[in-house]
Amino acid sequence: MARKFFRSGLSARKALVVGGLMVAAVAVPPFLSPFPLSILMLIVIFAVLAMSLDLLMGYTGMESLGQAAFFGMAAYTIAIVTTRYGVGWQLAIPAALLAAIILAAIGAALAVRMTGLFFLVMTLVFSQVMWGLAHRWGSMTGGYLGLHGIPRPTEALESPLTFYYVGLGVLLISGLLMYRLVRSPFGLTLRGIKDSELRMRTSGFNVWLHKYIVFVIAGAFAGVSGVLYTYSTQFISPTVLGVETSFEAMLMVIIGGAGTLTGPLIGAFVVTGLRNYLSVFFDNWVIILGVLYIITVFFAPQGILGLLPRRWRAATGVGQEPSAFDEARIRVESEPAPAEPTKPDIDGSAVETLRLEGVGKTFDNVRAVHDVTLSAHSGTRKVILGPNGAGKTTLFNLITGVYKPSSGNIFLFGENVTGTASHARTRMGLGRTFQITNLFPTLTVMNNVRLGVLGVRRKKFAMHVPLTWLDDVNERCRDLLEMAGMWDERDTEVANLSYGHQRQLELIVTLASDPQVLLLDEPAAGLSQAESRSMVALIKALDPGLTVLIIEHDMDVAFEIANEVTVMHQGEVLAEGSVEEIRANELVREVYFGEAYA
Amino acid sequence: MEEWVTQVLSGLTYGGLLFILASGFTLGLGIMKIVNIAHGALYLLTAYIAWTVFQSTNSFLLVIVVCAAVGGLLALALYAGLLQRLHQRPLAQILVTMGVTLIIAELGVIWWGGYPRTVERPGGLAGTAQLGGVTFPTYRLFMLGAAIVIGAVLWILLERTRVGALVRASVDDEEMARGMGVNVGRLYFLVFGTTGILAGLAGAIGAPFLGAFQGAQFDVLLLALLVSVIGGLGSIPGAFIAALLIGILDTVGKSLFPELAHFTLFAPLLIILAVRPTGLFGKA
Amino acid sequence: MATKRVWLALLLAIGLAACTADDSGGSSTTAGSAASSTTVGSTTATTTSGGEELPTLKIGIPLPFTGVVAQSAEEMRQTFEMYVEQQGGTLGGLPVEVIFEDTETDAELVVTKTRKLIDEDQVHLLSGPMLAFEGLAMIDSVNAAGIALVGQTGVAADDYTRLDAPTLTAAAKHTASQETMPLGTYAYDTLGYRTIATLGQDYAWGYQTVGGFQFAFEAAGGDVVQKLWAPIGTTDYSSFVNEINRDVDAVYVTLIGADIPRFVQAYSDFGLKAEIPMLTSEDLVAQDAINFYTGDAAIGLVGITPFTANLDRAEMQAFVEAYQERTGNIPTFWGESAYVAAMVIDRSLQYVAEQNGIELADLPQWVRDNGEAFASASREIDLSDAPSSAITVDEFNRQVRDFYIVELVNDGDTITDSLVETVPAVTQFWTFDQDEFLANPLFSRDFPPE
Repeated sequence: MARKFFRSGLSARKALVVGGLMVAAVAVPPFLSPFPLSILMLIVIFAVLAMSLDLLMGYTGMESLGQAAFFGMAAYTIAIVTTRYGVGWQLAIPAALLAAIILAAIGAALAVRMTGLFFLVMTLVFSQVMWGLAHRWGSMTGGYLGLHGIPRPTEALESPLTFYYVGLGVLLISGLLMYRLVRSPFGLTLRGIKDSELRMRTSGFNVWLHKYIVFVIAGAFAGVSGVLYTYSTQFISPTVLGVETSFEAMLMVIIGGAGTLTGPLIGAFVVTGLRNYLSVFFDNWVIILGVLYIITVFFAPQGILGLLPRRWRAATGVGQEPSAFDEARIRVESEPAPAEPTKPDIDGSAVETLRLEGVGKTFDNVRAVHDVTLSAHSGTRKVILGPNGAGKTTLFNLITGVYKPSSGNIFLFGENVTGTASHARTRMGLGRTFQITNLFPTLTVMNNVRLGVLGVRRKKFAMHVPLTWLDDVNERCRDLLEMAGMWDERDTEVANLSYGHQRQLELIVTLASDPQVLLLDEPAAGLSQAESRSMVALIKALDPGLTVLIIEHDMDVAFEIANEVTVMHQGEVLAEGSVEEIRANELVREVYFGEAYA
Repeated sequence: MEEWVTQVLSGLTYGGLLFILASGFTLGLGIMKIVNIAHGALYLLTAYIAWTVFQSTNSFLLVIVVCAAVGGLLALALYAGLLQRLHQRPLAQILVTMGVTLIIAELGVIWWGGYPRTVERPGGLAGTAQLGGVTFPTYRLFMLGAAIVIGAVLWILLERTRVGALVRASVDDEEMARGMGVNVGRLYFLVFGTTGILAGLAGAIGAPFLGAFQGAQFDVLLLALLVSVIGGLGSIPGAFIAALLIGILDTVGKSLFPELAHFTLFAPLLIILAVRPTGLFGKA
Repeated sequence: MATKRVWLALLLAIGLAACTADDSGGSSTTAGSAASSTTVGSTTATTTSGGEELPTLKIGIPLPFTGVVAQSAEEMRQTFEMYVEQQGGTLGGLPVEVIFEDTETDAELVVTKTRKLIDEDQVHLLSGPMLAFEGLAMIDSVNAAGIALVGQTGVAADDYTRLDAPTLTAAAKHTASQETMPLGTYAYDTLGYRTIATLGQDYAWGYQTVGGFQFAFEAAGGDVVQKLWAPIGTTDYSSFVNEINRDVDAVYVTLIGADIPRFVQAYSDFGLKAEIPMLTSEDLVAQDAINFYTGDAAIGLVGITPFTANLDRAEMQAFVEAYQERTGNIPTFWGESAYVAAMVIDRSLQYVAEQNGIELADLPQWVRDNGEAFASASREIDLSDAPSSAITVDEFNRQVRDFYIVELVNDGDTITDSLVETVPAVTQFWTFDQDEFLANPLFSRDFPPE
């Protein structure tokens, strides 16, 4: 109760701050002389650009050095159509935004499949090509000197103050739209992608598509900023397309605080302000700027926003550092799993859900998996045993589509899925947990489960509704978390969960996509006795109709759950059968138990 | 025909310089995952130093030694003072090294003035050489030769020595290497110091050709970034091939389509990256 | 520990910044990079004979103190201040406050800083800028405010003659083509060249210097057979050098910045220097270019320039001496332009005060309100004692002046320029008919055609 009260108190304080800033932004400018006003105008413009970049950098983890391309594309479109063709603003602005969006769609097609530095360089090269175009296509762009004398839309807007208010309005609307976006299910998927692309794919998301969409949206907002820019300076040259513009936007995001919308706003304020004012007061001001950058990294690693008191930060959503390990939270769930333990028999009439035919995988001439043929039905509880390097995890990666098999075919629910993408298999009803916990560490428990649920629903693309409004999704999350006894932990960041709970949560997130075939990779690895028991209980409580494949080293766990056992050795299936059969198998004892218990 | 030989040779020799500019950057990026924006600034500073040393001693050999030493020491200082604590934090690295770049470039203005400084070509490298009927500037041939030597030495260090094997092992699996008792921290110092030495060599060898000028800190960085990524991060043979390729693209492109100078460089790179996203020699 | 290191770095950096701030006035190697406001000369307020305190005239000068041309911008600041100090800290009898703003070589900031000077600092008139693109970027704001702009080197573009810029006077800078047209005629008539290849950089100054040269050369009967355009900041000029047609009589080149030594070196490296003479504009024969040539790659270069420090002219020698005493360096056309701009302001103030019977106390405000009349005054004043040449001003507020054809020669172990010929009283239309000249389009990539 107290906690809830506290939280609402926080948002009231935050509203006060934001509201105060807004009042200041509206009330102060009339008293400013033209120069500070023009700086304020630039801040407004670059705030929109920096926010658009933060959608990529801070939320999705796509560090782009090409945002200037879309900014410049819109800016140049306005300049060209108004000065060369005399087009009015009513047409010029939509044309500029469209141009930015189309360019972003092209850029996304090239860059989105890349990650990390490759993405950074691809976006850089892409914007450099546009920069080259602005330089060389002189008859259209005015070349090196650019275009000047661009009129503002109306006479009234020639007044700096009026134009500032229009710009502020645009910033506000853009900010609200982006705020809405990042709070929506689609926004959550972006944060999920930033944390773990693999987990996203495993949960049924087409990661590429989400990145593509957000890239285009960010390009569109960069275009909005470009439109404001051209009308504001009424002059444009290839510098706006240069790497300096992209880089400056990136600095604003980093300095302000990535992964929030307030951060880029602060960053735009600080960087633009410093750039224009330091030079007025100091000789060699560039050195001071350089030192400030360095200081920011060491004293405000989360950006300036990160310097705010922790409680405020929580309200603005900046990622907090993991707090000290909370001993109190590590308690094993004492309440037993709700359903009575069942060990379904393989029914002769059960449907075949998964079949592998001669599947093999070779890495650099090393045979990881060779000629594996196996079959599982609804109700199957198959444990896969084998020493390290037997190819068990590789087999899971083949079934889920992380790897493409070198030979053979994989059938899911009777359909050949050998060439099907990972996320599409998840949507068909395949679920999987990982040997090394794979969750979204910076998201809360609740949001982890939400992503699991959303993965197989169309609502993951919804951008207009906040997460909290999705009653059916939230209900389902509640059911799942209550089943595992983790409802109380729903607001805990996953990085702060105990290891045992992380393992359980991963199973829950996987179950959230309603899989019919479930692959569990060493679910009990590294757990204490008690934690391990509660995990077994959770697995035994699963819907008996599911097909479950489990890789497990712990024999007690394995034999307690299994009704079928497959033993692998050096990438091949060594033996198959019931628990009793395997226990009795000489060959298995020799190769496997012999080695394992040597 | 003769003209084409000259053009291609020009491209190759320019590519040699590009390799020297990029080799340190690609090592830092590939091996230590450090985005060192200040690489270009190290070039600028050592090129200025090259000018001063050559003015006062007239010894190109001394220029090379001093620049390599200064580059290496500065890189070590940068690593010890700042970057060491920023592992796996690319954004922080970018911001910090950008700050360092601004400071170094401004010190260049203060100490050497804003004018461009070009180092005179040392005696034996100043003239032209005859290559089967083609007259070609000796210094350009020297740039290519130096690139081959530097590339070969780096390759041997990485692939054929114990230290190189340790470095490669640490790149593949840092935890494992630590577990096996490798002093990974010291290795990283060694590698980053090497990137600085390479930046210093770039300054020494580049100063008579590109010169030291305000803006070089970003021009060089951009070129180094392109070469590194096209070649595949951390790959010395990759960077070498990419540098020569970019050199030829730039030179031949400019003479075939002088109207499209920027395009002829960037558009093919865009295509290469679109086809091979991890670069020519990059690992997926 | 860690914290200590960072603070150490910080202190070091601030210390360095402070040190350089201290000696930015005198040391020759220092380029003060920031904007500053200087009240030049005596600090006590100047008063009229009646004891009444005079208002200060505020002059705003945007210059690129950060970036590739920072050093030359610093030279311009120095010469402007030098002129004011020579007048005892006054211009036209008024105490002066000069506000320098750093444009950082960025077109967007030129606009911002110009507006700051006009609106925030409430300057009475503007001077500057340094680079052609800066001039074109700021002219809209200047026109909108109706404030006088006493142009320095940044108003060299031919455009202004055809643009509506009534408050601009370019008394301190000639046009781009004005400089190179005499060289075109000279190349044909005196040097006897018949075919020429040109190389310029891909922007207005390049188009207009090359265009002017070609226009006059072809009018005399010659033929420009090849025109090459290089992007600014080309790192390797070998492809352009190898592209040059080897059968031409001469090559004409205009470049700026770090590209100059690279091209000249490549031209010599590939053996063209021995075969084909090179002609050029002011940029390649100015002292700052000479400073960064190495070896003898540049020896024999023939160029036309409005300024050479070796000129046998009393005003020039006085100017060079004063500047050397102040900074230890030899001035260039950059500094002279700023110096002449100060001279123009000084004498125009005196002229308008006299002509219109304005009290000194009202003069600053009058200048602010009558930008066009102030700019036009430059046509009436005497500038016969400008350092590099006697200057008159035409009806477009443009310079009419002498140009010098010089050759770079070896003088012991340094390179110096040697005067070959003086071309007296050149107008922006050279020998052509004004109306016919203005009927042509502006010089560009495509005009005159190859």
